[in-house]
Amino acid sequence: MDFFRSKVVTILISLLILVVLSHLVQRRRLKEEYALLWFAMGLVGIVLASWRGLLHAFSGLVGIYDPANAFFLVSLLFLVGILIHFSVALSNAMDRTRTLAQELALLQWEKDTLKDRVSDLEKRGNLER
Amino acid sequence: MKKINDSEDARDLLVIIPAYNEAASLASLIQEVHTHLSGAHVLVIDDASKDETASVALREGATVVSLPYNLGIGGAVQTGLIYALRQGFSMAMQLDGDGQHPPQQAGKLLHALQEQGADVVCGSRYMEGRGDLSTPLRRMGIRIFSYSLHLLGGITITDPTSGFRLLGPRALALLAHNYATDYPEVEALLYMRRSHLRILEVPVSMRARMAGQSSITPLRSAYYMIKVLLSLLMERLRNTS
Repeated sequence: MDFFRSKVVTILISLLILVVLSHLVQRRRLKEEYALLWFAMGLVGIVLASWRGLLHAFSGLVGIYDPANAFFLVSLLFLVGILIHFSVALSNAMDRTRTLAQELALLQWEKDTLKDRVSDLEKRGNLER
Repeated sequence: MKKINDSEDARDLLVIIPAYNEAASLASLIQEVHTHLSGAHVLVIDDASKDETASVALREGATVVSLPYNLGIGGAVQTGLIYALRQGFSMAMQLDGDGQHPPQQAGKLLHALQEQGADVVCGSRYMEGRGDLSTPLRRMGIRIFSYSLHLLGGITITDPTSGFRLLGPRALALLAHNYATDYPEVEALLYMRRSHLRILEVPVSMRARMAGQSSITPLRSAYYMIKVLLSLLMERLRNTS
């Protein structure tokens, strides 16, 4: 009975995660690229919760006595994977914003310099006329 | 031969001064550069200062590039290097905005670059041990960096955190494209070494900062140590082409 209950709860939570994710992707609040790992996690949650044989086989394979702990291990690995993915994406974004900031500053300088030069030329043109 | 410390003619030289809230010391620093490095072009990178840094620099006749938000010293210096490369300068010298690096000593670096054919010349506080030598704790940290550089790159650098540096054309091109963002001095040395550049150290004496506040705190120093040691290791593991 308890097995059944935990199974239902796990499946419901996984389904909820999937629904929230697809909602976010649909409304373009979340890029597909970043939703992918979360989707995979939700699906694996459903598969492992409903297919007990697979979870038992897996816990036997990695030598974990309690299948529930094997389930937690899989979830934890997914979370670690997702966080590493985030760190890489963040580093990438930092590099890009730095380059943008530098280019912006240099362009700003160039614009100001050119503006000064143009107004100098205009003044000189007026004097000649 | 010209005497060292005389005013040097330095038309191909860009002096890059990264500055964050250095309005108090910048004016006299820029004047000193003009006195001791006549002909050199002065570029102040205003790292999103909250004070009058940019306007003080402009008033002293420097070129000012203002970053939209604070990038830290590495990002600021790199901006200067990109500028140098695009404007066709063949040499770039980094001079800290707090006035630690006396421009009177810049001639020594220029001499060493031109006469000994180095790609990079670094000013070292510790070769002759004159001037401001920093605190004992920081000196210990610096010694650890020296030792790591020796171990990982086989170079002997007595003052690896010194930002008082002169880059020749090859170093300039290399670093404009690839430069660590924060606390870049030590990593840049290993990177340049592994890219087969010739690095030279000359003795200089530095001063305590002229005015304003240092951005270094004990906690930040500890973070700095660990971060730099990690990136040194990573730099060593990387393949340089």
